[in-house]
Amino acid sequence: MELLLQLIFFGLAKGSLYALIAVSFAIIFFVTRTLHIAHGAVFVVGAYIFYVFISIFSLPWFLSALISIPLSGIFGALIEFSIYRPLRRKYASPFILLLASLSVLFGTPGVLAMIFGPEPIFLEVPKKTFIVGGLAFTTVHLAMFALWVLMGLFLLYLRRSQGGRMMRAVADRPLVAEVVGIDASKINLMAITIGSALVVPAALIWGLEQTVTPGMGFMPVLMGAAGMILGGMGNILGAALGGMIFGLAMNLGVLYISSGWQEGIALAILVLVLVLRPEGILGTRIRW
Amino acid sequence: MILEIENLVAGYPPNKIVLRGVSLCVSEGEIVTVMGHNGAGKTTLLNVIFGLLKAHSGKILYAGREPAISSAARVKDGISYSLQGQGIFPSLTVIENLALATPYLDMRTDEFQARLKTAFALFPMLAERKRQRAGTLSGGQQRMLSLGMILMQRPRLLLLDEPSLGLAPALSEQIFDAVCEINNSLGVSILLVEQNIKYALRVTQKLYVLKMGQIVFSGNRDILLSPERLWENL
Amino acid sequence: MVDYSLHILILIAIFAILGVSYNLIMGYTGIISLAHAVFFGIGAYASALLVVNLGIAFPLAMIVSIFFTGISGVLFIILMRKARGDYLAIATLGLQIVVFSIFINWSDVTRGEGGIVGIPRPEFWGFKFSSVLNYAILTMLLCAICFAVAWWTTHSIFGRVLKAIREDEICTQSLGKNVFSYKVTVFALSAGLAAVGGSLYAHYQQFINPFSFTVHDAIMILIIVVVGGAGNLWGSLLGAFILITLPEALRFIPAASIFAAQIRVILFSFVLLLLIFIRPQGLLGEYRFGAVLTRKESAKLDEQGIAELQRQMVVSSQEGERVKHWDLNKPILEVSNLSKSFGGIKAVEDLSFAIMPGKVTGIIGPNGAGKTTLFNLICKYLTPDHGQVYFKGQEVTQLSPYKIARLGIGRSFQDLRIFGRMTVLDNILVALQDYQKDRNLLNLFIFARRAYQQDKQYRESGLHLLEGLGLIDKKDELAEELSYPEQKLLAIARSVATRAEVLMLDEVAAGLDPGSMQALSQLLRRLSENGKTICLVEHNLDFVLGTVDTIFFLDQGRLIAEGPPKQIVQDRKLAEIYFGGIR
Repeated sequence: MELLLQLIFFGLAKGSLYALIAVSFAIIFFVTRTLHIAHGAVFVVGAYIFYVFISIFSLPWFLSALISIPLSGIFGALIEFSIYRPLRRKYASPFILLLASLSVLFGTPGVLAMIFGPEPIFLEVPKKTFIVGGLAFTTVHLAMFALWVLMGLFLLYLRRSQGGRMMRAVADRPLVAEVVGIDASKINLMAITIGSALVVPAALIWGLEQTVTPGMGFMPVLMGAAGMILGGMGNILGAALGGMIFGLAMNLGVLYISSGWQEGIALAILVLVLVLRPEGILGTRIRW
Repeated sequence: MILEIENLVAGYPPNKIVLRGVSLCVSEGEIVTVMGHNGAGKTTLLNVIFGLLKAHSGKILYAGREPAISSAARVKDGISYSLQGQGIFPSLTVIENLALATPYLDMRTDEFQARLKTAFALFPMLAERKRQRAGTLSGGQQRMLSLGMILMQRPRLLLLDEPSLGLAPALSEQIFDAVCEINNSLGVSILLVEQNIKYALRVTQKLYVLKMGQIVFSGNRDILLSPERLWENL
Repeated sequence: MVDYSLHILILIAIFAILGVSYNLIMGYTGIISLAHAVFFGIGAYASALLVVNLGIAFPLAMIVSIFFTGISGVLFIILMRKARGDYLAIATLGLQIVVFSIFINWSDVTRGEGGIVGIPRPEFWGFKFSSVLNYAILTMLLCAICFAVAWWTTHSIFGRVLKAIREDEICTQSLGKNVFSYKVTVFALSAGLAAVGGSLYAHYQQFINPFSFTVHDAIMILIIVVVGGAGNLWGSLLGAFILITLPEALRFIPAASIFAAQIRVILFSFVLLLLIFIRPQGLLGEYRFGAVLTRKESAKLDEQGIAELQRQMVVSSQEGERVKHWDLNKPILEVSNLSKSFGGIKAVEDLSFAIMPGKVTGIIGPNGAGKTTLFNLICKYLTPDHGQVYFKGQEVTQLSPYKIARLGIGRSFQDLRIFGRMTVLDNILVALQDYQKDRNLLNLFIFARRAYQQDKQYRESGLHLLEGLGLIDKKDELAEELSYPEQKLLAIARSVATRAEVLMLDEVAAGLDPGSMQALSQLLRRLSENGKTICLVEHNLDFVLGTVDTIFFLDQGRLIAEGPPKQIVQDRKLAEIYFGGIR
């Protein structure tokens, strides 16, 4: 019983990572209608920027984190600006956009490996351990729970601000948005910048929990996409939920299946959802 | 003349020509109706005027000069477009929809509140359902919301595409009453596309008939009183 | 040095086989899979395990592996049946990783991360292929055979349908082809060919592990095809050559060799991006060299065109003789109590009518009357909530679109849907081809000669038809290069070519200038005089009045009037309904 409770606690904690990745992936997909799998490249770049600032510039971790967030946002905006936008202007099909995204996703780790070397990097960040009622956890786990707060704030932003409203409008009916006078390309840029910035905390915690390697972005982005799809396309809350379910499942899965199969099984679920029910579990009702 | 169009030729890529030299004009404060069968080019005409589609050749003059390039700029200039069959954001609430009609105008300003008041005055049912998701409104209510959004934009020229499409007669009458009101009290000039004679009769002074991309009739609304003649022209 | 070159040659040949096999599904059929390394891997593992575990000799091992992998290909496409577009791509990406996970984790069978070692070089007929030279010859031979198989498949009547599926699946269905069965066949073939590559790879390296069959390898195969040109088999050879030699060439630069692995990845990504931006059709593209690409201004069907159309009548009457005889007094198409609602809105309500053979019927009505819904119900793109459809007395309500097309109902689409990147002649040929015979791939190879003769026959008929329509000098032009009225004509010609007895034409007069419309009206009347039944949905009343024998007037999903054009037009009540007023 205690084991189960422990696993649920850690599942909820770790689930926040997947939920945030899914949410950040989802906002980009809903607004720009592009399956931006290069989000995995932004993920890993965010982690490396953080590393650069704490190791090479010797900045305290808090400041480094604060800097890497907008910088990653800019990287995401760069991808939109230099790759997606010109291709869309040429009426490229979604598949071509996906291929371009794929090449950034695979090429970026190569560049990073050349600059930093392929070996995993351990992030030196002070951690404190707490023991409460038999449960042992660290500040990292606290940070994971903080991610839920971050997601809550983001949802609030989407609901209350004019910027958030415009993003929801473009996601809902792009033609009506254009007719009403909203500049869709500006909103696209905004969505990808915010999404790219939003995923960085998850990347940093991921890197802290495990290590920072050039290829660390690949699995998270697939899981994030899986979470979004599982939760139903068109639904930010669903994306968060789907992401969290993945996280929970992965952790509970350790109980029953050897860890090697985890990823395979998680992806098998994704494949099944895609082929049997592409509109996800919660369906396509757009409810923000 | 709020709108002058001369010899407009336009179509969809790669090689489909829909408008083959259309000329018409709308005087300030007028309601002008364009009729024609499906595929005659009515919606294409409105798309070109609003800037969603580029013309191959021909001239468009808005208030005596060439209109702005992008659609967003044309909205700022005073041209509003009511799309056929859609025009609202279903997943957002009524008030959010209205706020989005003027995306760059802050909700807290007096200007915004004043415009909101006008919209609610004309469509009181919108005020009652401020926080309701627009997608859950009935067809007629959604149409009213889209007109409310147009009102928020304070246009000089309104391009209105089949406002009665899919609506029951009673609702359509309400919509057209509102259209009249928009024209009367706010002085908005309207280029209306409509297939239904009865409604067109209520509001319009001038009529054009578009057939296979060309204007085949232009004149007074009196022709509408004898539909058989219309068979000939369509 | 020689050994090194041979080594490179072997790799090129193996990846050429993979590229060619992938091109079949991606370039020709248009199915975007990011999982081709799965078949590469299954082929390799199957072949290796058969030899190592069961001691089965090489040629047999490869053959069994081909079959086994082919079956996995069939399962693959059956699983992916419902997925579309970029969701399909993501699903295949996921599947590729799942299979990789199986390779690594199912150690009982696959020996896990360590892989399978000690795979012997092939030995048969007493001859051992142990030297690099021998193996290179074997590989090249098999590569040539695979290439020939792929080439014959794609340049045959079967291949033509694949391209049509790539261009427009729905339209291909409407021409009577069972699209899914084509997909299954091509996947089986593609997977089988990939297995050849896998088997050769396993026996060459003499050891395999899961890390040769990852997502990166699937992407590499994709790039091979894209570089050379999707839809161009020679291009895949070129692509294999480039993608194998380029990274190898970099090994000779000392500075670069430290980063060999990273550079390879960066290079591939860069090449892919470059291609996407600058030359998405690849180095060789798909089209034959020398194809003239001129954009036509909107031309018209003029007097000459109309004269040509009258000659078409000659062809039509020949076609007409092949039409099975049906009693002219019995309705050829009947609809009974047909109803269909969409979320509470009754699009079609309790509709019943009968269409007589050899006549032109027009369906008109105000917006939202349910005309297009009715069309889709008859042609089986929608299933009715209630009611039945009868064709020649047989109930056809539950059939799928391609079956109804085979029975004899052809249709045109509002948005044309011609096969843009195929030639005009090919567009017609796809329609002409007999659906029974051309689907069977085995027939294609066993009775190759016969298939070739058959294709020649089809070509002759096709050219004949094009002549009659005045499109003969455009026969090798891509359909997307034609002017709009010409494309319209092509779409109708295609429906006629299917020998359909009933032609359902959806807004066929839309977008035409008056002259072309007149010519079209004449054409339809000629077709009707030759025994075809034509059913039009139209908004252009001029066109309808000048072309049809009977009018059905629909309003709000119901049939409210039926009769000859003159009668309908004079009815004041109908006029009011059409233009608004009394409801």
